[in-house]
Parts: sequence; C-alpha cells; structure tokens
Amino acid sequence: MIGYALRRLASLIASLVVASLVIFTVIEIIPGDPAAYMLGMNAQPDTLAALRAELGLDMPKPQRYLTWVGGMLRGDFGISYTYRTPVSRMIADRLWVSLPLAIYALVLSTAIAFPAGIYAASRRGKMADVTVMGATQLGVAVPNFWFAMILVLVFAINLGWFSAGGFAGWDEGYWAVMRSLTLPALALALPQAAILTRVMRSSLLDMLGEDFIRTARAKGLSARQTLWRHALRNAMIPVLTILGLQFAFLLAGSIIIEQVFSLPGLGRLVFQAISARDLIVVESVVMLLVFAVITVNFAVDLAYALVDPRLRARR
Amino acid sequence: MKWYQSRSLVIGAALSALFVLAALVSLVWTPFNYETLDIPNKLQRPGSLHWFGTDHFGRDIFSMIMAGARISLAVAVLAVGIGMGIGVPLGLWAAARSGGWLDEFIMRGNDLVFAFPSLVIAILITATFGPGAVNAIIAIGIFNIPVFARLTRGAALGLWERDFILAARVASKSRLRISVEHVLPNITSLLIVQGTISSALASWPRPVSPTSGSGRSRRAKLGPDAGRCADARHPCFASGAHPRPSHRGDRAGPQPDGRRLARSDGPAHPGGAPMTLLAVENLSVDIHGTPVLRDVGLTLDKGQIVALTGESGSGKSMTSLSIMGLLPQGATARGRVLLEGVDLLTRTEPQLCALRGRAMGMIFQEPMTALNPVHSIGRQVAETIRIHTALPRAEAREQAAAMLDRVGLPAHRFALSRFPHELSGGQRQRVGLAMAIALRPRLLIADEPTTALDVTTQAQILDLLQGLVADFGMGLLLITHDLAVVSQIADRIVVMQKGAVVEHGATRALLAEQRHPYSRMLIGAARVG
Repeated sequence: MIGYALRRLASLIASLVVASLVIFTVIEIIPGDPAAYMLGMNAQPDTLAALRAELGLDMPKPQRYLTWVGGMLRGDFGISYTYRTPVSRMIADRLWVSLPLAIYALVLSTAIAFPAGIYAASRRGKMADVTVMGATQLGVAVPNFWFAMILVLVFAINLGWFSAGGFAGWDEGYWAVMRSLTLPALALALPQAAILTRVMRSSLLDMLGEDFIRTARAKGLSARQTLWRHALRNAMIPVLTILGLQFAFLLAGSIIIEQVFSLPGLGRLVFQAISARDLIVVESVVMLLVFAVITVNFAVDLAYALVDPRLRARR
Repeated sequence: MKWYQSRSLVIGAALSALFVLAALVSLVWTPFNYETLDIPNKLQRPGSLHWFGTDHFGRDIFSMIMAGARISLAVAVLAVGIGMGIGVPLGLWAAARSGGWLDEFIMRGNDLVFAFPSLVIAILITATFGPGAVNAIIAIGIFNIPVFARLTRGAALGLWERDFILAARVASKSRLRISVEHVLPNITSLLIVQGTISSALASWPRPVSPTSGSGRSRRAKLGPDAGRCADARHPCFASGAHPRPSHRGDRAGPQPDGRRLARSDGPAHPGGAPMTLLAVENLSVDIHGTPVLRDVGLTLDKGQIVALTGESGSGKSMTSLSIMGLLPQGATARGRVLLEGVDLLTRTEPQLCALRGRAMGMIFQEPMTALNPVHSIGRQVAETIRIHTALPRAEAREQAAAMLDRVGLPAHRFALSRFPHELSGGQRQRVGLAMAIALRPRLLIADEPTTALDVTTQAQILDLLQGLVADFGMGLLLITHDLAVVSQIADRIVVMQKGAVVEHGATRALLAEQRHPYSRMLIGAARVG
C-alpha cells in the first residue's frame, strides 16, 4: 500500500512538471506582448523596455520558467498585468466561490446519482429502470445553462426561495452563501448526476453478471443482499473515476454557470484574463486547475486501492 | 431484445434524421435569411410566420436553429473524426506494445490532457487564433484523441489475453495484422457507442469519460431481482406445507425472477424412499420458450456420489441450477425437484434463500472468478454462516476458520484476512468448497469442480470431496464431462444428451456395458483419448 502510494506520488510530481512546461510553452507561443498590450499602441520604446524589465519579460526563457515555478512553490504567483494586484490574492478570492460551489455540486450529484443508479440497476428492464434511464438521457442531452435558467425562473423569480444571481460573500453568513450557491450547484449537478447515474447502473449490472454473484446467491443471499454486499463495492471503481473527473470539471468548467448567476469564480477570472491578455493570470489559474485535477486523480487512485485489495499488491 | 430497446432505436433514429435533414435543407433553404436583422419585429412570439419566434434583433429563430444544426453537425462529425482517426490507431498500437514506452507515453499523455480543463483550453485557442468553426473543430478534436486512445487501449488490452489472439500469435501473424484483423473488429461496437456520445457532446465541451459510454451490456447471469427475497434468515422452509407468502412477492402470476414455477400435473409420485435425499422428476425447463431440459429425472441418496455427465450443452449445469433455484431470467421450470420430500419448485424465493447455503450448497467451475475479489476469504466463508444463523461475528469467523482448516487451508498458513488474488486456483476452489459446506448442507452440487485445475490439484480436490461426503454424510451431485473423474469416485452415473437423460446406472455396470449408443460413444471417446 505504501509502495503503491509512493509510486503514484512520483507519477504525480512528474505529471506536474510536464504540465508546467506545457503551459509555459503554450503561453510563450501565444502571439502578443503583454507589455505592449498594457501600454497600448503609442508606447515609447524605452517605456516598453522598462516595463518588460519590470515584468521580467526580458529574461531568458529557461530562467523565466524557473522564476515562475519557484514563485508558485512559495505561493507567489506574480502580479497581474492588468489589475496590478498579486495573482495569488485574486485566485484566493475566486477559489472561495469556486471551491464551495464545486463541492456543493459534487455532493448534490452524488446524492442524486447513487440512489438512482442503484435503483435502476436493481429494477433492470422494468418500468422504473426505463424511466430513470430516460431521465438521465435528458440530463445528458440538455445543457446545464438551460437548467440554470429554468431553476432561476421557478425557484428564484416565482418562488423567491433562492437568489437569482450574485454572490453574497462569506461575511453575510452561511445561509446567505447557501442562498447564492444552491441554484448554480443544482444546475451544475443535474447533468453530472445524469452521467454518474448511468455509470453507476452499468457498472453495477456488469458486476451483477459476475460469477461471484452467483456464488453469493448459492450461499443463500437474496438478490438485494448480493447487490449491496458484493456488487456495489466492486462497482465503485469506474464510479470513483468519474467522480474524480467531475470534480475537476466542476472546479474549472463552470464558466457558463458562473456567467448565468454572475458569480465571481475561477472560470470567469480565467475568461476575463484571456480576453485582456493577462497571461500571467491565465498561466497561474490553468496551472492551479491542472494541479487540482492531478491531485484529485491521485486521491482517486488511493481510493481505488482502498476499495480493491488487488491494487494494493500490484507491482 | 426488449420492446423499448427497439422503440428507443426508432425514436433516436427519427430524431437524428430530423437533425441531419434540418442541417442539409438549411444549405439550400431556410424560411428566412438567418442573418437578416429586422429590428421592428424583434422578440416575437412563435407564430405561423416565425415558427419559433424572433430574437432581440428580429432574426428568425427557426432559421437560425436550422443553420446552427449545420455547424453543430460539422463540428461533431469532424471533431470525432479527428479523435477517432488518430486516437484509435494510437490505442491499438499501445495495446499491441503493452508495457512499452509508447504505451507509457500514451497513458501519461492522456492523464495530462485530461488534467487540462477542456473548456478553458478551447477558449484559449479561440482567443489566440480567433473564433470560428475550424478552430473549434481542431480544439475539440485534439481533446477527443486521448479519449479514443484510452478507450481503444483498454478494450484491446483485454483482447490480447484471449485465446483467439494467442492462436493468431502462435500462427506468427504480425502485431499490426492481429490488431487490424482480430482486435479492431471486436471493439467496433464500443467505439461506435463512444463515438455517438462524443459527437453529442462535441459542440458542448464537457469531460467525456472513457467509461461513461462503454456500457458493456453483458447479460447478467442472474436477474437483479432485488428485494424479493427479503429476509433469508427466516427459516420459512420449516413452516411446512403452507408456504408463507413473501411479503412483497405475494402477487399472483409470475414468481420472483420472472420465472414461472409450475407444478406438473403428471402422475402422482410418492415423495421418494426415506433414504432418498434428492429426487428430480420430469423436470423440463424452457428459456424464453426454447426447451433446454426435457423430462429429466435422477435420484441421489445420503452419502452417495452421483455423477451427471454428458457433452457441453447437454443440460447438466441447467439441471443443477434448477435444483438450486438459480435459473436465469426468463426460464420456466416444470416437474418436481424434491429435496427430502419437499418440492423446491413450489418454494417462494425467500424460502429458497433460506435453503441455499444451509440445506444445499454449490461450488462452481471457475475458481478464479467465483470469489468476490474485494472481500477476504475469512469474511466470505463466515458470510454463509452469518446469513443463516444468529452467530456473532467472532464465532462465525471461528467456524469459518475450522471449515477452511477442514478443506486443507489451515489458518496458520492461510490467514482469514487473505484475499482471493493471493491464492492459487486450487486453493480458491477449496475456499469455494468451505463456503458451500460451512453449514454442512445435506446436498452438495459441484459443477465441474476440477475442470479448470491442473491434474495434480484435480486429484486433491476429488479426494477432499470424497472425504467430505464420507464425514458429513452429504449427497454429492457431481457434474463433469470428465469420465476419468466419474469412474474414480461416483457411485452412480447419469448420462445426459440434448437436455434429456439417456442412460443411468451404477458406475461399474455402466462403464462395463452401455445400452444407449450415445453413452457408448462418450465412454469410447474417453478411452481412446
């Protein structure tokens, strides 16, 4: 188990190094000099040179890469080109919106998908299964911003239970945050839950066809008992994989939902930064997201080993 | 194929056709020019002129949707084309050279691409190179490559272990040829499923997992008829001639599992001689209307070993599953299966649950897959005890340890905390046996228990079975096609062919002289081979 974790950790660090190189290279390739962009068309050459020196753009590329990575390791992400504030503080502010939103959506998605998937699998081929599968088909097909608009219409405008947009801020208390985040989290969660339900169901059905299920039935377990005690844990591996991917997506991919609900999240930050050629912000946010995804995958890998003893022993 | 499956196919095809048609027609005709601004008529409700209304610039929404379908379709088809065109060959190659540097490279590269938020990258690409369908197609296409590479590799890796690929390799076909001729055709259906899902999501980037579309629809061997067999701990069997209705399944008509358990109206037969443990009488089984067993009959006494033999497909396993009440969904059994005089075919599912594992145990052919890989062997053996008795956990484990010891896995060498993957095939079969006999059932059914084992292990397992029958006074129904096994330990032989019993008799007599030509052939073949 320890050896497995160490191997995964080594692989995690290697992935992070490669990812940082890729991001750095991509940002370098992108046309446009941030200094020129900041000063506008009529900038004097000497002003430009001074700014380039101030931003560190005149250093050789390897040195700039090392400065960037070294800074990030110390929590220093540099200064935003457009806002002239530390990138780390900008990211931290946004993370306090995006992270709770992602976790909230993931909890909702799991809370919907697990019971629905297990129920559909246990009623395979029956009316209940067909209904659940039909609903998930709809959930996969309908984009989440549409759900968002419908949710706003019903729960914010007609019923007035939740706010239609904006973020109250943590100073206003948990209830205010819940009011702001519930609808976006639900809109994000519904399509994710649809995918997760399908994975849960098909993974369970695969497991219910295994020989050891027949053995368990021969021991005298009822069909329901075999499902809960024998099939479910074995079916968790693909479900965990999807959960990991979904968390990564929820953290980064909620740009459109953030737009619909005017939430100051990471997605909008990166979108605004790309439009304003604030490349240092783009670079740092993308790196942070990649870091989050790779870390979550690492956690998922460790969870695999907890679920499946065979992985603990492997290589 | 169920009705709704084909119906969903029809609906899906119709919707797709509508979508493609709208896209194609928009090339030559739309009700209005979708780019024409008509500010005075902005934000109109749907009506006979503007079918879906107009937007805030007065453009006709229906026309815009038709034109939009064209772009969505192009993005979807081309992006998936890029993904498949590059990803599938990469995946095939990686699987063919599994463990090599390319394999490693693809897998790590995959992890990386998955790690990048695809929507952010797509925005980055369009921000850098300008918006437009071509850039979108390239961006989405690139993100589809690893999805297909990973999916293809995963599916192909499994195939490389299969016998028919091994055969091709022995015939020294090149890896490339094997990949194209043998691997690719076998993963096409999977690729089509992922292809459709990716196309659907292509114009809407969100993480498409390699597994989300790979619903391998293998038919379950058992119906997941959860909830029917409510509490197996109730020995409702003991309540005698009046079967207690199961508290959920007490509806008329089909019994749990969709199986119709009918009692034959055949000649009244006494419940068997007092010594008779198991009597199968006129057992006929249909699966979805196709007969698989016809009037099968056999008897088994306490302490006796009866071998059920015949070629594969002759109905041996189906007979044993009928006795256990574990027939696949859609199967109908008629006749009588008397265990100590009680007809199992008339028992409800909860009553059968109480009997399985307690009055009758079963071990299966494939020891490698018959055990749950994520539970320790001690837990799996103790489960049989705990499910039927009220014994506390510690005592159940103690009994499990004793039973594992009895089957040749002493606790000092095989700790209860071991997992199945740490044991050999023979050792796993012993665990399976310990699970089946943990409560000393009167009847043990062994379905080809030694077929998957090597010859030395076979002999050991047969010895063990013989010893257990003698010690516990069980009746053993031994299902095997191996006449060498039969002649060693069986008291009687029942020969089956095409779902019916063609001959039965005492082992020595039957081996010496066969009346039925099929038995003669079977035994003749075994002697030559």
